[in-house]
Amino acid sequence: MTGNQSLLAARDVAKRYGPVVALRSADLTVEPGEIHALLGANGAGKSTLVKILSAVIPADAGTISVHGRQADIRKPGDAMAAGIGTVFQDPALIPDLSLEQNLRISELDRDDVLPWLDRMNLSHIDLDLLAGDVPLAVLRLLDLARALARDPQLLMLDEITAALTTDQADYVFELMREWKERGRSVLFISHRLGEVLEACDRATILRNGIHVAHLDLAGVEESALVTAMLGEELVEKVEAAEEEPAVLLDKEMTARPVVLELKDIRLRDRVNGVSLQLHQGEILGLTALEGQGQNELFQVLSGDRRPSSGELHVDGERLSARSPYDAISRGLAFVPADRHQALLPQRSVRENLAIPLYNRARRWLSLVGDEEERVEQAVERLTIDVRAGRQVQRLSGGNQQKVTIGRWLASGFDTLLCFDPTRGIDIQTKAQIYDLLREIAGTGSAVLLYTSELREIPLVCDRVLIMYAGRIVGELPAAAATEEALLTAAHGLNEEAAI
Amino acid sequence: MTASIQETLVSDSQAPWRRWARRHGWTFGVWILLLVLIAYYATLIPRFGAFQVASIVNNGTPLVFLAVGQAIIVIAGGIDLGVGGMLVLSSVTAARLMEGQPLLVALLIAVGILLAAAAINAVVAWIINVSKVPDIVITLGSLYFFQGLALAILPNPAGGANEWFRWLFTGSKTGIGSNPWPAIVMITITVTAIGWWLGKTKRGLSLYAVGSDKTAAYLSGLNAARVKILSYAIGGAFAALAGLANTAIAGRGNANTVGGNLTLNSVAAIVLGGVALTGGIGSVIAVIPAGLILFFLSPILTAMGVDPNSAQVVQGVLIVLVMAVTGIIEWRRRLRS
Amino acid sequence: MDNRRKYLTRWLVILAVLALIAAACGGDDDEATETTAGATETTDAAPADETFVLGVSNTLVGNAWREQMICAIKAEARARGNVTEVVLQNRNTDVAGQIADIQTLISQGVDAIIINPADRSALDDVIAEADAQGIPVISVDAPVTAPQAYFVSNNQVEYGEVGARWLFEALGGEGKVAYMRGLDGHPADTDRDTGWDAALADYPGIEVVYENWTGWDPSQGAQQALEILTSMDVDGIWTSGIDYSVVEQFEVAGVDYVPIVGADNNAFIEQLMTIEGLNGAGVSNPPSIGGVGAAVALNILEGQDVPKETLLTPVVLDTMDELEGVFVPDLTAGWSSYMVIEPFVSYASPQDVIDCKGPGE
Repeated sequence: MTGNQSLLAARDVAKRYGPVVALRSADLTVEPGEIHALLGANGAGKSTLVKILSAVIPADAGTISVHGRQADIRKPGDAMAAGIGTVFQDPALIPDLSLEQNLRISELDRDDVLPWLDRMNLSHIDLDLLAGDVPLAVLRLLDLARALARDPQLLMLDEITAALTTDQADYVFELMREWKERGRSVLFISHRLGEVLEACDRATILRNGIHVAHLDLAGVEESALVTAMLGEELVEKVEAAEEEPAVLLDKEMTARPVVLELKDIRLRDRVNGVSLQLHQGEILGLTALEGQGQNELFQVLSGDRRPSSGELHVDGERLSARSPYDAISRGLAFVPADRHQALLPQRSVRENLAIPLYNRARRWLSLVGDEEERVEQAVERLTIDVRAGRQVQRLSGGNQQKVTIGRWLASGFDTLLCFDPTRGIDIQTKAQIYDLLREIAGTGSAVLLYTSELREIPLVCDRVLIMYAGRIVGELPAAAATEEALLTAAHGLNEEAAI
Repeated sequence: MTASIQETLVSDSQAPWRRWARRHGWTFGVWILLLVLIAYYATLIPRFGAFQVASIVNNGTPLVFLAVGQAIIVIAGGIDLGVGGMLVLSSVTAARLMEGQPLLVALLIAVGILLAAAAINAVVAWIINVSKVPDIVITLGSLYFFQGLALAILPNPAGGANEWFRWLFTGSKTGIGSNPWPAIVMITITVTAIGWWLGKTKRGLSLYAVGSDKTAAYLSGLNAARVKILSYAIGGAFAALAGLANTAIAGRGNANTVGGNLTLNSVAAIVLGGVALTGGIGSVIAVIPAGLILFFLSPILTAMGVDPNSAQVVQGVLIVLVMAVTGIIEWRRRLRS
Repeated sequence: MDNRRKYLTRWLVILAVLALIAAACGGDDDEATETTAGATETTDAAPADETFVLGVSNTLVGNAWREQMICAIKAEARARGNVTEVVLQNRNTDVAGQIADIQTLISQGVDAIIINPADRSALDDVIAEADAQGIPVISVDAPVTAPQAYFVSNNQVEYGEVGARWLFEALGGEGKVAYMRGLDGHPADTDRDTGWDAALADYPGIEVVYENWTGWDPSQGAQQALEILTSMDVDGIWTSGIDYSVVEQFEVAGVDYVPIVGADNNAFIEQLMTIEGLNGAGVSNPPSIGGVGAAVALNILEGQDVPKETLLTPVVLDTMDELEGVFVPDLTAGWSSYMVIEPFVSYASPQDVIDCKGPGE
């Protein structure tokens, strides 16, 4: 009965939402003093398990014991009382309340969290700010500080590093290690296998709602993890897709016509004069650390905000967009990182795919001609799992992102603007998305791709620009875009790389 | 990254006036609007003195209390169409029970009515929680239920109130006079107390939390169902307080008063007071001048020689304008951030 | 730059709308200030060319009787020539609202206040306050208990009684009757009930099989009439002025008419004149009593000796001559035919009331 000494033991946990089985039968054991990774492709059931363990949703079946005793956990308060602290994928801070008021509703005060904020280099933060005004990354760290202040036996972190920059993530790893040294445990969920291997001791791997492996991570290769997560057959496909980064040569590219040109775009103090040219059939990468003006630049490109100054040219003609409608009608299609921004969560996949088509419906009531068909083709091409059919909100994150791209495929576009489209998405879906982007470029459309995943830039891009403090500070051909080179430039350190 | 975060956080703290304007600008603006309207009114009429002030404050008191009750419920993410019915019900109950009673008994009756109103509205909230039927449907039912109950309690306008009880709300034993102070003190004490509770205590903040983001509130360990019951109970008590004020003013109860109109006035008042109908945002302190302004529209239009029937038109225009202005402020804020 | 211009345009539009509203109201308010100022100045002047401002408080809007009452007040004020303005506090409200409205009128410095009271005794204190500030209060249509108030009304007790007696006589002292009352709790309704009871006491053969309140609402009256026609046997109907919509229900149902007592509504008078087989009587309850109220108010202000109570005795209209004598063709439905109440009012023709224009309008 060694299980009795386990900090947390979940057995045969199951959960279904209507026809969709989120968890078939999952086991998870976390020992005291370890950092345990929970891995799996999107839709494998990781988040569902975390939510069940923190009593946000009830399980259909299964038992949960803490310190060998069966725990009666029915609401979030019970989980906290049982020593389980969670940082959820979505921040649990109330946007309309100040940070301090947010602490107060958790029965904490300033002094409880300040030491932890200090450890994350956030001691200067003004707790009087409204949570809604604070950047997402800071909210995640605040959530972490709030969880730590309750001194939990088990700290569960669901995709906390997804929204964080490298150095912020380092603070989190440091705190995780410290937690382990105190004899407490951490359950860590991340898509970034590199950081998982570095930080974690053991891992439980879920696939399709079942635990498929419990591993000791010492000496394990990344590829072994991928295999475990995806299953043998799929891995081969993914690898095949990754092997041929069909990157075009620089000279060949510049000979092609420019489809999108930015001339000295400025927006208040956030974008400080960005100029760039995007060629037909090109995938132009853009990367930056968080908050360097990339969000605002994409808002300008998608027609959501008007620049303070500067010009935007599409196919050589000036575009002065008053709303996304103007941009879309000139063939600029935008795929945001936050899928919720783009989708109607309660409508079906097909309806969501057809939204941009509504603009074109010539009659008020029905879609014209072949458009139904185009929606069907898009579904097929994207291999979207439509079993959950009725509502897009029931789909996994990766499938939702496919829908946001798919609707542009259905309606047609010239230039695709992708803002971190693979944030928080599993490898398999990522590969499908990159595949899709290459295919799109192959047909003559252009893609501007902002991504925070530096390692993936050489795989998909032809060329990459680096943004810092609202300006383009560097340009590299894809072949030279190693993680180190990109990071150096992204920190604004590499003056030689500046244009 | 940290640089940019530091920058945002610092730049914001460097402009405290901007933050002040954002948090309290609306409240301040509504108070200023009330003062401007009063000053304007003073120029329209031959004499402006204690009688005129008392007339506005005393007669505006029921709407202020009613709107504060509605505000508390709306802040927590609900909306209660039944508050007007609750006002009528508590008013006729008070008039019926208090007639001929000494002050002490009248006060005990008043406390009893407030507690009963809180309990009844808590049951309404519980029904909403259990049935999962939208607030607006259930409370439409409670509006008619309260109004009908009021008619059963007092079929004809009748009843009375202790004269010192009337003084508590109107500054005069006859309900009429030139002394606005008791009403001012009563409003100040109750509304400041509830405002403090809402903004400073864990339980009070939980109302904002649930109204602002139910999911995040749940993840923070709050019980949304219990918070809704709490908000309805307090809101119901304030509606009953408005009913007591009504009885004190009229000196009797009248079940023919149309509760639905009072409810709509309370909603108009909270909109003017800057309470977001979507929940989570607003200050009860701003609801005081908003309620007084709405009451005040009718006298001011009369003094301007405008047909008072058009007071409703003006009220409508005002609400649309307020919504447009809040919309624009919100839009600008979104652009800036 | 573009962004800034966009904000600017929006704000300008809002300011423009606000300015327009202010301007629209402003035009009126200049007038109001002038007239009020004029009134206060002349208070100290010689009584001969003194001018006055009348205040009116009414708590039932959208009711034809009340509308006509206000029009008669305006007509009288205009005909007298020494009224600069009639300030109206006219809205649907309860007694608490009327207390506030009367305070508003006091605040605005009117010289006399004409009210149609929503409650018999609850207004006593506010009337005392008005009196203390030297403002006479004239209660029209229904009495109040305040000793300071002047009372101008149709005699409602008698209204109830003469109509009831006419009906019981028409039935030969025997039969089942429906008693369709007015607004529950309203003083006039209570008074009419007193008169009704007095008449009923003299006719032991009459049985009241139906008693309900129409709220003086024609559509509610029609609904109740339908209920009576379909579910019971009645020999006669007494209505508290909701008469023509009851007759209409008989027409629609194609039922034989029973004797009906109503008021002096023009539509009812026309029905009595034109419908074959309809026997009925209109008891006068002219809303133009408002004009009498205004006349009394001005008499007081001019320093005349005015009795505390002015009661008009109701007239029963049942012969063709009487009916034709008051009928006004092309009048709004629900309006009363009987407008020029001699010898009280100064306006000469029904048209003055129909025009509904106060001084300066």
